[in-house]
Amino acid sequence: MARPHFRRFWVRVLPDGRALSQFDPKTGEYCGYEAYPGPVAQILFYAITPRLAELIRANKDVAEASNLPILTFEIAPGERSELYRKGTLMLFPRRICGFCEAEFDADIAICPRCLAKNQWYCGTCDTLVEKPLIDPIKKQIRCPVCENTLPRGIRQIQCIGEFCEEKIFTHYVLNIGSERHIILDYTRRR
Amino acid sequence: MAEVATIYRIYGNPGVKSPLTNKVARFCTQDAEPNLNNPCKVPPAGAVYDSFRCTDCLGITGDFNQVRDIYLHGDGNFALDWGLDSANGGGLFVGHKDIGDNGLPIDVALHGSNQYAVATGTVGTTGHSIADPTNGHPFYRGEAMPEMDFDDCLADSPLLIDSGPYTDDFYSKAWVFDLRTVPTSQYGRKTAKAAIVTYSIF
Repeated sequence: MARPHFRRFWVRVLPDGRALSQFDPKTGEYCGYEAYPGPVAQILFYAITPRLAELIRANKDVAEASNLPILTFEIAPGERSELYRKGTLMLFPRRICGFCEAEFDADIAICPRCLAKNQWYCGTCDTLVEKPLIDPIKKQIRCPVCENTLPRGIRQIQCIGEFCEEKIFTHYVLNIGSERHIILDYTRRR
Repeated sequence: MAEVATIYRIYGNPGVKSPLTNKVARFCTQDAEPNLNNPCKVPPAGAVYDSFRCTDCLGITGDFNQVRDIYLHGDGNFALDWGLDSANGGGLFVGHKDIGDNGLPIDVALHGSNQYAVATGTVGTTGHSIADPTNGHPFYRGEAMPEMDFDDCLADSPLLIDSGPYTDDFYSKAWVFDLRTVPTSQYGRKTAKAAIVTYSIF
């Protein structure tokens, strides 16, 4: 269950001077649409301010304040324009520590808070083994310490769990006449 | 409120959708949430094993005028990162249609028909591939190209799953994955990787 992460929002200025905003500036409520059927004179993209981010979050949407520059697009009378948003839904693998419940990146094997890690226990030599011997032919996981004397199977003591976190990245696409503008929610360093 | 998007995995008969939120979606050789049971195996010399087919879809709820153009892509390195040996036929494959949307219709009201098929095979050993002429996926197996290598579905050439449009809460057409191992595939635990879904919202 992921929601789009907003760092900028649009304001649509109509030919009669009225302005429609993606988020209500007083309440932070999402307007519920990106498309607008009538004529538009101007479309502006503003950075989300800290105050607006708070209001948006109070409405259960996800927003983060940013210092992205204001972008302005003029639309000549009679010119066709289309604005929509692209959502990119990704699943990020994450890990969680069973002892301290810290959540961390999946490429880290050891809990950064309490240093817990998944290990294997050998009941014969009474040791915890981090890297067991894996025998894919016999389908066995064995203790490397006991291997030279009496090969023993070992069992995993699992204290680090895995899960996937869903995130939606979003950006805007604005078509004016034959021109396409991609409005990202970050700035690119050149 | 803006949209809420969730990826679901469909198991069993008639096809129960389970959200993948806070889970790790694994390929396995059973038609149920596997946890660590019945993992994919490396086959003996001369054989090819497939995972049981995985059927996933996107669900979107919330306020919007229209959602359309749902695409799927990866980073192009699934076979490499998982040691599947693509040179010898291993890899991650996805159901493909010769024309139109590549997604599998799973809802009569939304998609016009329900073509969901339970994944089949020998539990604990191998599943039936999407393209298997006899036991493959009924919606795809008759196509000239019933499956494609998911590593060919990249950000600049994503796979069209569902062109839509949808104007209210919906489940998209589904995509069907099949992980194939060959005798030279690497044994062992694999790192988690992401399939990426994009959509246009109006």
